[in-house]
Amino acid sequence: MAVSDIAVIIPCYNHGRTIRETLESVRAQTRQPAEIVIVDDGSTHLQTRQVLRALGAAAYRVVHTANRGVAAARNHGVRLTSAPYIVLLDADDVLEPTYLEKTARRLDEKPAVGFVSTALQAFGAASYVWTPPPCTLLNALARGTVHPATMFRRVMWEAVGGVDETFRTCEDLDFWIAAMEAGFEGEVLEEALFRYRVREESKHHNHVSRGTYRQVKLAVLAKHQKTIEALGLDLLRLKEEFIVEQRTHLAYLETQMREHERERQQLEGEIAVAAQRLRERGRDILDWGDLRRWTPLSPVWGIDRGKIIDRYYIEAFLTEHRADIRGRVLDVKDSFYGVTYGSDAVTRVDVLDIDPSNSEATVVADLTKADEVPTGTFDCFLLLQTLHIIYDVRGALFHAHRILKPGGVLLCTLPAVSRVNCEGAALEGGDYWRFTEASVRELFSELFPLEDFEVHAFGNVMTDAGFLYGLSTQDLPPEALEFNDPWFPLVFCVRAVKAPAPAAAKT
Amino acid sequence: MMVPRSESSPQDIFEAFIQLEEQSCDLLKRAYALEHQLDSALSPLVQRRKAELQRLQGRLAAADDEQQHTGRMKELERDNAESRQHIETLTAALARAEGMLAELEGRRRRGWRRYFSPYRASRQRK
Repeated sequence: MAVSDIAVIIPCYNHGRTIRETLESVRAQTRQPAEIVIVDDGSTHLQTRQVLRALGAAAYRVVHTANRGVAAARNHGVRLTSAPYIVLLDADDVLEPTYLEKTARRLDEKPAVGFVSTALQAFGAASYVWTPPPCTLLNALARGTVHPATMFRRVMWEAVGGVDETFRTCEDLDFWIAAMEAGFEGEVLEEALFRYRVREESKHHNHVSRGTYRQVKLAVLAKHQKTIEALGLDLLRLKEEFIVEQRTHLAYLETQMREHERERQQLEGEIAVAAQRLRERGRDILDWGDLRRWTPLSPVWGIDRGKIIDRYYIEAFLTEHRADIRGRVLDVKDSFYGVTYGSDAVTRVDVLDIDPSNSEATVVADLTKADEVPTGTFDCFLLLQTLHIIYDVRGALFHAHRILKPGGVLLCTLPAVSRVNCEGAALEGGDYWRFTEASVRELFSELFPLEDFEVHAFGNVMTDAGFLYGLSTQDLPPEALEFNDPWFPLVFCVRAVKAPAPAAAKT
Repeated sequence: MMVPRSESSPQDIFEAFIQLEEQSCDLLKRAYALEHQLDSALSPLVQRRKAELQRLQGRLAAADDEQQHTGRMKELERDNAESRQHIETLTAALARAEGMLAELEGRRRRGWRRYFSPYRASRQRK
């Protein structure tokens, strides 16, 4: 069989943060698939929708459907492909590089085998290796069966009528049982070539904890009643054995819980003693060093010490998007960034300010009510660290979008963390907001189509703390500036392009 | 645990299996709850507290080292002060001895003059 006879179907429901890793693992396969289809099962998260649009723009085949569950998404993807070997890969799981090669080779070598699975390596919230039991109906019904990314033949999928879309969980168990009932044999490779991501909020865990798993599983079993009856006492014995194993496992977990709890209590005691001994020696529990102070080292964001930390990210962002800073550029308060970071194609830099006394201002306007600035005036608007000091953020962004020419670019940065503005009477007004990634996405999605803007989060807990303490980039270890932790951002940088159409509506 | 006899009807088998499955589902649910608590909460918490204890013990050891170091420094400083005092005493004794020697020398010279002066005078008179 030719090397390009594999289709990989990736159903995706709100897995925008992991799907790239999943795709990279497919791209890194030693035997490449002929087809990759991503089925967006009606994702609701903006970030996922943006990632899927970007993947579509990057020539991946992405199809969008209403949310109908993973079974329907898998079937839809299979129908869109024609390769004889199929892998259904969830958008948060990962294949080892030889997964397709080794599973497909087994199908190549053994025409009688309908599906080939592997051991799996769990990662994420748990770490373990699990090898599915041999593929028999007895095992499938009594002990469980192969993982969903098991490679199978298209003829098998056709023979069983695809994945049963009536099941919202246990759909894969039903599929493998149906396949074996139809006479298809399966094999398991001992090597853990499939990496299964365990997430606290996983669908499977939710179904089990809410009890819907039990309900659906009984429905799946009812569907296969004849098989269960035919397997008879052998099945009951095996199930009982399995239950004994489950009880043993449960007892082991309970012991683990007790031991961990005992260890935790012991640790708390030792920690309290160590802390007390430190206090007796007149020491702090934590070595605060130079940061043991109640006021920042610099009250002016560290400008008196060196480069301001957030500017490191903002300037890197502007450098990366220098080509967007072209034609007629609008800067705020002064023309520094437009002039310094503008490309050779800048024809003019205007300066926007609400304050008429600013002699540099060429556009004096309140951005929230900037009706006097003509629509479609600027090729690029540098709206840097400004929106947080405007109460009506939506109004300001509306006009920022409006005054851009079609195809014009808004380069916008917003703080996630910052001291209260020390300029003017900011405590009384003039510094209103800090942002999160979600709020930035929502805000921009109200004006820009999802595929026309991207949000990047920069910074980490050290840069955030350093920024609040008024440190400069020179005070930080250089590597601290290169690590971005989405849970502790310092600044968000947004590149948004105004659609060529005069009124781009929310999509 | 219920095990149907070999002559059980297919329906009995199915019902018995469903009962076993229900037990299995309950066990799975309990196991997941414990695994979730272990993997997501307790194990990471124990690891974090272990790390915290290590950090505190490291800090304590450093404080003890520093305290020992400070003690030794004080001891050395005390030794140093005593040595300095001893040197001062010796220096003073030396100075006193040198003074006495000088005085002795002066007396010796004066004595010499007294001894030879009458002789020199008689010679001059001659």
